[in-house]
Amino acid sequence: MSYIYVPNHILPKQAVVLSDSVYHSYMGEYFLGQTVMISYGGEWKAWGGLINPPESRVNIFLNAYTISNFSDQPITAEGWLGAKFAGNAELSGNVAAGNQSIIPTIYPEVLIESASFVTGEPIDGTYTFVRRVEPSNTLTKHDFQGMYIIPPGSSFLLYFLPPGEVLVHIKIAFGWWEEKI
Amino acid sequence: MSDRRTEFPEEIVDITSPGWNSRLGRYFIGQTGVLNFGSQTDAWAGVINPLDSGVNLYFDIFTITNFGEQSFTAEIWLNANTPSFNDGYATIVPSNQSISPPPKPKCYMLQAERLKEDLAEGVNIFDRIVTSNSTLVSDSHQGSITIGPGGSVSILLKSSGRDTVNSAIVLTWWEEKAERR
Repeated sequence: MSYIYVPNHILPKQAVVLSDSVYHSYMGEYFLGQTVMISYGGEWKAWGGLINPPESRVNIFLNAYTISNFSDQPITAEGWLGAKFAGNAELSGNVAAGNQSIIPTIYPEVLIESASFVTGEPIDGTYTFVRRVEPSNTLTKHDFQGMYIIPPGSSFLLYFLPPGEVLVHIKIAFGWWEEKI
Repeated sequence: MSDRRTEFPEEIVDITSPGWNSRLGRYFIGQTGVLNFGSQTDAWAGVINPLDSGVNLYFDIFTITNFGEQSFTAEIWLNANTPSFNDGYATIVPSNQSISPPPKPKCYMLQAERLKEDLAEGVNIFDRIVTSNSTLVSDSHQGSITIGPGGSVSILLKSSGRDTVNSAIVLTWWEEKAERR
């Protein structure tokens, strides 16, 4: 076997490259979590998402979301930035830091909330994208690397349109990091 | 255009964390046997970081194979307790096969089929639906999920159908010395 001669002074250096999300996990700032089971159907709607409380003092950098559609019908989800919903929401406890080697365990400032059988529409906010989700499937969207940045008092919500005469069960999951302002 | 040497960009080789840790012999792949579940029983597999391991576990990739005709749901858990009835060890190999003797992992992997108990403790951070006759391959987490000594990453498979489902789970991770604080 023969090698091409490369003088030492132009040999490329080797570097281990960490993505921004992994760097923030090392720092104990990366979190994963999902909503409780969300149900809707008929003329009812549903929503779920990340809510950054006004007093949180952090920005959210969204890295990933997934939508699990447990029904045998396709469903439509709309992505909304900065929207709110009237009525009660359910807070999820299924949240953990990506870095579990830090003691004491760390928790996010951000809340994962959702609501089933909703009648109202999103209040304020901006409708930014639409996703169709196949039946019995998990739609995954990974590696945004903080493309959506959500300040205190704002939100990233997925809003589920009325599916017609069927009962639908879904869960939504998120991965994000938080940076102090 | 100038081609003076001093104005060239510096070339570096981009090594991923999994690639680098594989080179060092710290990257491991664990696979279960065929796991049967269904008709109100679950299947489970997890990689466990023992309290006295002295390493952090950097979880990388999971794959879940569904050999059946119906989709099922996989729940991903951090730090759930090991089920009291399990079916023993899964097979682990180092991804770097060029090292002799082969490096041994500090973490170990257990599996369980036809599980009748719920998982205790821990957080169910997200779910994935695994479609029939397919292998779901997760994205590389690149070390954004870190588990300290005494913790675990595990996957619980649940089917709503009455039929027995055949499945298999592969988990990959690397290990780095845990810093004492």
